[in-house]
Amino acid sequence: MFLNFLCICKISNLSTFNPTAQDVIAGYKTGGVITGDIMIDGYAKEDATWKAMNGYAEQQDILNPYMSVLETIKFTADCRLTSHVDKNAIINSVIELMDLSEYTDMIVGHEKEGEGLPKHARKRLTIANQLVVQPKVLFLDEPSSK
Amino acid sequence: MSPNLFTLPNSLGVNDAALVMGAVRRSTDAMKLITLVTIHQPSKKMFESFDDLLLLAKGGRVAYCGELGPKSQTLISHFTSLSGKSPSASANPADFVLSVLDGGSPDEAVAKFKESEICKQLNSAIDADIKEAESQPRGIATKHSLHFFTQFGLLFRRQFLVQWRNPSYSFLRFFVSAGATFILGLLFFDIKNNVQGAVFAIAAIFFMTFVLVIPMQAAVIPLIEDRAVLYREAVSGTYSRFTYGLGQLFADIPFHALNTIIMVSLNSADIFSVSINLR
Repeated sequence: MFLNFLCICKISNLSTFNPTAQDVIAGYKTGGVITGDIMIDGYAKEDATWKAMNGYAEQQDILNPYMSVLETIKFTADCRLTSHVDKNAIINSVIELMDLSEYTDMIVGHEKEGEGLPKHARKRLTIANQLVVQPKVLFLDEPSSK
Repeated sequence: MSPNLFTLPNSLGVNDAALVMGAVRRSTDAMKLITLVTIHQPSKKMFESFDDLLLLAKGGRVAYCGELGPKSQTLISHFTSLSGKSPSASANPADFVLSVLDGGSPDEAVAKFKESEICKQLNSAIDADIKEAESQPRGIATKHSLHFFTQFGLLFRRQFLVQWRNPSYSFLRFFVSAGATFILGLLFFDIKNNVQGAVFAIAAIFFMTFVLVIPMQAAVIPLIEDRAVLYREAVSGTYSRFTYGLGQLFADIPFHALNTIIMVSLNSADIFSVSINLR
């Protein structure tokens, strides 16, 4: 799997620059012309299956400002996980891994007005939101930038 | 499959970035993820927390692709052989690589990488990997989609909560309706209990129906605010745009119903009593 990612970059000769290349592979670019093949595990990429196995955390933290951290993660889990997995266990493990336990009940708040979560916790919530779906591949677009 | 962190070549404070990257590294190991990160000006410590690097020159051409090695030694020795210069022990490997690329031309680096042993090993590994994958049956999970009503229920609950926690929006609607009600009440104040009065009452009801639409238009305000969230979640397959719209619509109904009840009860004294008495 890992090596096939390198393969993508090798064959497809994307006439684009780095974050764009990542967008193309992750399937988040809708405009423009993409040439070459995108393969996953040796098979042509299918949008439906690909979405179920990858997580993409954007550079901007796009979060609903009126929900708490726990509610945000729980909403994603409820929407994207099947009912026969232990959602609470997954949510708890993601919160622990992302070290968000001290913020669980905090309302996200408007970033521009400086309310709610600090920036680093926003970043981690954005990533946690993707992790809760239990992806096989995780894309992070400049996680260390503002 | 071993966990891999993989970097592709803007910023948070050093401590904040360390918090975020520490959490990423932890989850990658714990969840056995493949994590692809684009990064801008990483610190030495952050850079060395990655396993592999894909460095792209302009045009998406590969200038380096492979392991960093312990303390980035594999990467540094490749670029040392390219430039003839070697970095000081304390130098940031990311800065060193970029300074080498700045000194020479990127085309040269791309060509050198193509000839290198790392690239040859990589190509044969890719070929072997493809062959192996082609001989195996496909094992990717299929897309999971929630039942329409479950999805709708979740969206309705969230949207209702958002409106409850954003009282300024509900207050705006309330004051618009209350203001309109007051003006309407003044216009049709003290209408007579006869046929002419009944015509006035019908006109008032007609008018009120139109005026009630105005606070409903305020529904567009939270949607503008929420648009980016909708795009992100719909694209990642969290829900469909249709259910989102429906959830938004239905979450609005209780608030509008309350508004309408207030409006009607304020006016009922003069307008509706006429119609009731006439009967």
